[in-house]
Amino acid sequence: NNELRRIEKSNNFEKKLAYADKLYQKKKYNTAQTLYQDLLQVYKGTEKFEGLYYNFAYCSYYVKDYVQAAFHFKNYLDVFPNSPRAVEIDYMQAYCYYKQSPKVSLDQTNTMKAIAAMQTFINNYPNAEKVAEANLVIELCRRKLEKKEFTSAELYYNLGFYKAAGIAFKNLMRNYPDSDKSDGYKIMAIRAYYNYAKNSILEKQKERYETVLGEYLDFADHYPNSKLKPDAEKFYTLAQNNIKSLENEQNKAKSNQ
Amino acid sequence: QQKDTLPPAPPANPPAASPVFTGTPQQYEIAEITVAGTQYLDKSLLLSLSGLSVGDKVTYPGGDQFTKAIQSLWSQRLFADVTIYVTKIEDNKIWLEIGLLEMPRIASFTFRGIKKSEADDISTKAGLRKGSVVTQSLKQNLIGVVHKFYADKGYGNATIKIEERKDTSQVNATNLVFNVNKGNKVRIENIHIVGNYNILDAKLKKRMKGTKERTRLTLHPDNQHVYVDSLAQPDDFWQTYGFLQPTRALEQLDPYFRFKLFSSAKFNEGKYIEDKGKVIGYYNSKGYRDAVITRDTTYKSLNKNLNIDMQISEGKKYYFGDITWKGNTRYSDSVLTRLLGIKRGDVYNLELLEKRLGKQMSPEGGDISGYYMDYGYLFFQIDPVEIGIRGDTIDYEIRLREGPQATIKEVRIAGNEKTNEHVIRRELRTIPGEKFSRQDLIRSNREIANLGFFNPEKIGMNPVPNVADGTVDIDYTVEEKANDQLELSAGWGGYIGLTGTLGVTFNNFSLRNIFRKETWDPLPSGDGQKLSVRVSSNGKAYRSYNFSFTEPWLGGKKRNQFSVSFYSSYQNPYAYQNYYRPYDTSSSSNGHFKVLGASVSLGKQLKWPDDYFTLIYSVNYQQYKLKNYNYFGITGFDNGTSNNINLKLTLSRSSVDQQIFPRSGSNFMFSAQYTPPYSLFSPNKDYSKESVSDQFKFIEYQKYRFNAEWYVPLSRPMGSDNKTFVLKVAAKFGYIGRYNNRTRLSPFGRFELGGDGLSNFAIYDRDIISQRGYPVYYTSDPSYNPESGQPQGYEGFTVFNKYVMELRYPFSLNPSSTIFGLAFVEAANGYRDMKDFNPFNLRRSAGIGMRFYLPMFGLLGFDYGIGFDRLKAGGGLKDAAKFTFMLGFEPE
Repeated sequence: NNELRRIEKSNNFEKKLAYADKLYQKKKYNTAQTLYQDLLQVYKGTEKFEGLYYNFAYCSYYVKDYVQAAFHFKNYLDVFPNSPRAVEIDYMQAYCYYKQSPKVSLDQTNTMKAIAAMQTFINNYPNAEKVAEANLVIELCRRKLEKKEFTSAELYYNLGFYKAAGIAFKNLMRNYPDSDKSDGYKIMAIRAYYNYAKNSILEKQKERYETVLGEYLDFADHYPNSKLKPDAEKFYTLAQNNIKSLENEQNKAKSNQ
Repeated sequence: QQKDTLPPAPPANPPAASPVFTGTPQQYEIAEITVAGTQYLDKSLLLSLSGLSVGDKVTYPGGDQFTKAIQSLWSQRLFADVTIYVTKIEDNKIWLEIGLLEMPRIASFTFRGIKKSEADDISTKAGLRKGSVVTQSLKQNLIGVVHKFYADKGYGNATIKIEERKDTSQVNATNLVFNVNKGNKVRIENIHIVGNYNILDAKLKKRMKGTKERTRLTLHPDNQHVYVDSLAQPDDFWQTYGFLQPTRALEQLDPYFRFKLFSSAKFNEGKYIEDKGKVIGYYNSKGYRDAVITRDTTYKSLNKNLNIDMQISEGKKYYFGDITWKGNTRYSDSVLTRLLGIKRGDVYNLELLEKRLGKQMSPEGGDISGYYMDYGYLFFQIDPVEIGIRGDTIDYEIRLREGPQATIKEVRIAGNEKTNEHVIRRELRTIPGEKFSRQDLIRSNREIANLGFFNPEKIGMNPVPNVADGTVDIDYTVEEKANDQLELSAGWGGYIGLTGTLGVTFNNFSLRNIFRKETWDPLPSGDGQKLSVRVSSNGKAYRSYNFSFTEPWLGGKKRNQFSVSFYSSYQNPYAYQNYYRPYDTSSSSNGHFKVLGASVSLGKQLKWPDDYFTLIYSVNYQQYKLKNYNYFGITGFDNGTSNNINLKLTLSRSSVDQQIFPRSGSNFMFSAQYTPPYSLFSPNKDYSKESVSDQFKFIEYQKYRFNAEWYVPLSRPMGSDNKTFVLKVAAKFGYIGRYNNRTRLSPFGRFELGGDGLSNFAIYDRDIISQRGYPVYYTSDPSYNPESGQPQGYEGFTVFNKYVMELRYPFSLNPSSTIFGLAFVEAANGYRDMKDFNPFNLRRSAGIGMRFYLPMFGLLGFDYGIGFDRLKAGGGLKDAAKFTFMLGFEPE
C-alpha cells in the first residue's frame, strides 16, 4: 500500500520504527522484517536496539525461517547476555533447532542439535519456567532418534540381514535403556537371531541357536512381566527343538560311521 | 608515514584487565561505573552490554569479569579502543571507569584501478564490511592483503593508497576509497641451476610446476649468473656434432630460443618454495637422498624480469638393501615382499617405499595397508625402519602391528534432506556385524552414486574405529541434488492449432504419500520411485500421451524393480488438407494411425555370477490401427489393426561407478524378445494367400539385442574434483527375424539407423540407432546417403551393428551443471536381410561433441560428425559433415 511505500523510502527513522512495530503487532511479519532490516544499522548501539532486534528475530521465527531465527536469537544472546529476556531467547534458540528437525526418515542432525541446545538451556537456567518444556522437547527428540534407529534395524530384518538386525536391535537397547519398548526390541533381536541360525549352514546352526537360548534367558531375567513373554518362549522352544534334532542327526551320523 | 588518528588516551590509572598484575586478588563490590569517551552512543546501553553492573562482585586484580566486559564491548565493532580503569578502591568497594574510543564506521568502500572481481576477492580476504570500525590495524591488514593478492598473481610491486571521506548522510561514518596500482607484471627470465651433474637442467625445471621460464627469442642472451659451476667443462657439443642428440641440442639453444606456450612465467613466492621441495623430491626419488639446495637467490635480469639461480649439492646415489618383515601374521614374508615390489639393489626411493606400504591412504588401493584394510584391519600400523647403511646400500626392517579385524557396529547416514533413509540404507554393502572391508565401502559409494539422487562427487564415507571393542562405526554423508526434469514447450500454428509438450519426470517420487497432503513439498518425494508423465500435441495432426512408473524395490525386501507404462498416440496425415480444404470430403481425407501400448516389467537382481547382474522380464502389448493411411508404404496395408504381444527377457550387468559421467566399469545387456509363434499353431495355413492386413493382424517375430560398453580412465584423477580422460568403447548388435519362412516379417520392431537418434514423431515400435555424421540411411551401401527421406518400399533393417570409441573429458562435474567434451570415431551399418550381413561393410565417421547435464533439463548435447563414406571427389569436408543435437537422453 501507499503508506508503506512512502515510509519505506523516507529517512524519518523514528516513524519507520513506529510503523514497523505497528506491523509487528498486526502480525504482518514479512513486511515488518524488511523495515527492521533497514533500521538495524541505524539503531545499532542505541537503547532502542534491543527491542528492535528482539522483534526482528521473532519475525524470522514467525515466518518460519527457523535457520535465520536461530541465528538471530543466538546473536541476540551474544549482544545482550544480561538482558532480562535472555532466558526466553536462549530457549527460543534451542526451540528453533527443534522446529527444523525433519521427519524420522530424513537427516536428524538438527534433532541432535536441538537436544544439545535444550540441555545447555537447562544447565544455564535450572530454575527457569521453561525447563519442564525443554525436558519434554528433549524427550520428543530422543523418541525420534529411537524411532529412526528402530526403523533401520527393522529394515535389516526385512532385507534378510538377520545378524545385522540382531546387532542393530541390541545397539538400540543399549542406546535407549530407558525406552518403554525395550522388551519389544529384545524380542525382535531374538527373532533375528533365530532366523539367522535357521538360515545358517549346518555346522554353525547349533552354536547360533544357543545364542537364541541365551538371549531368551536374558529376556526372562529383565522383563519377567512382559506381555511379549509368550512370543519369546515360542522362539526358545523352537530353538531348543532344533538343537535337539541337530544333535540327533549328529549322533545318527556318528553311529553310521 | 601515516599519522595515528587516535586522540590521546584518557586518565592515567592502570587498566583493570592488564595481563600483568601485582598484589593479591581480592573480591570487591562495584560501587559505581562511569563511561567516558562516548560521543553518540547511549551510556546505559553500553553499561548493559559490558555485563557489569553496580553491586556485582568482582575479583581484582586477575578476575575475568573485566576481560569479558572488554570482549563483549569489543565485539560490537564500534570502538577503536576499550579500556576499564579502576578509579578508586575503598574497603570492599571499587569504582570503575570504562574508557571508550568511538571510531567512525565504514559507510561504503570503493576500489579504484582494479577490476570488480578482484575488488570483491580482496574485500572478502581482508574482511571488509560495511559498519565495521575504521582502525589502523584494519588498514594495515588491507595493505598486506593487497600486496599478497597481487604478488600471487605475478605483480610484485602493487601499491595501495587509502582515502577517507566523511559521510555526511550518516552519523559518525566515513566512505573509504582505495586507489590500487597493480604495477607491472614480473616474469621469470632464467632459471640457472648449478651443481647438478647427474640430472639435466631440463628435467629439474620440468619438476617445478609453478615456476617456469618465459618464452624467448633473442640473439643476445642474458648470461649473468650468480653461481658458477665449479666443475664446468669446456663445451665441445657443437664441435663433436652432438646436436644429433635432441635434448642436448635444445639445452644449447635454450639461451637464444625457448618456446613455452602453455606455461605462465609469473613468479609466486609460495609456489617457488613448493617447487624447490619438488626438485629435492625428484632427487630423492632417483636415489640421491642427501640432495639439498645449498643456496638460491632471485635477482633482476637485464630486461627487468626476474632471474633465479640455485646451487644444488647432489650427494651420493643410494640403493635398497635387504628388506625384512616383523610382526606379520596374516601374510607371509614372501607374499609381502611380492606385494611391495621392491627388490634388493633397486634405486633407493623412500617415497616409493612409503607409497607401496600405504603410509598415506590412496583411493586406488593396491598397497600393503590397502590389503590389510580390505580385510578389516583398521587398527593396522606399518613402520619402515632403517636398520643399517652399508656404503650406498640401505637395509630396512618393516614393522607391522596388525591389530584385530574390525567389525562394523553402527552405520549412520546424514545429509538426506529429501530422500528417505531406507532408500539409501538398503543399497549399502557395509552391514552391521560384518568385517570391515574397503571394497564394501567403495561398492557402497558406487551404489549411492548410481541412485542418482546425490552429488556423486560429494559422498562422504568416514569409518570411525572404536579401539576399545575392536568395532567400527561408519558415517555416510550425502548431498542431495535436484534431479526432477521438466519439459515444456508451446506454440500456435496455422492449421494445427495449439502445439505443445508438457512432460515431467520425478526421479525420487513417493507414491504411498500421494494422499498425504503434508508430504507435498512441492511433491511427495523421497522413496526413490520414478514417475514420468508426458503429453505432447500438434493439435489435429499428432497427439501422444505417455505415463510410466518405476518402483526400484518392489515390496521393500528385495531389489526387484517393477515398472509399468502406458502410452497412446495418434497421427493424422490429412490435418493440413482438412484445414485448408474443408469442403473436400473424399474418403482419403479421413484417416489416421493410432498406437496404444502398455508394458509391465519385473527385474530381479541376481546373486550369481555376481550381484551386478539383473534379469528383467517384461510383457508388452501394442496395438496399431491404420485407417486410410499407407504409413509404411506397403501395398495393401492401408487399413487394419495389428496386435503385438511379446515377452522380453533382458539380462544385464552394470558396474559403472556413476550414471552421468562414468569413469570406470562397464555395461552389458542382452535381450531376447518373442511374440507367440502363431504360425506354429496352424502349421498348414498358407499365409501368402491372405491379405496383408490379415497377415499382420497378429505380428510374430523373434528379436535379439546385445549392447556392451566399457569405460576406462586414461589418466590419474587430477585436481580436487578428480578430473580425468575417460575412454568409452561400445558395441551394439541387433537382429529381428521370423519363426519360419511361411510368414512375412512386419515393419514393426525393426531397426532404423543413422541420424540424430530422435524419433521425430515416428510413433510405432522401431529401434532407432543413431550414427553421427550421417543422415538416416536406408541401404547397406555406405556410399549411398541421400537426405531425401524414406524411399518407397523400405520397411527397416533387420540386422545392424555399431561400434563406438569415445574419448571424454569433464570440464565441470558440479551437479548443477555437469559438462564434458568428447571426441569419437564410430562405425555402423544396417542390413535388410541376414544374407546381406557383413560386419566389415560399415559406414565410418569421426567427430567431436559436448554434453551438458542440467537439473530440470536433463541432457543437452551436440555432436559434429564427419561421415567418411560421404566424402566425394571434389566435395569438401563440409559436405560430409553433420551436426546432431540431443535433448533429454543420449540416443542409442
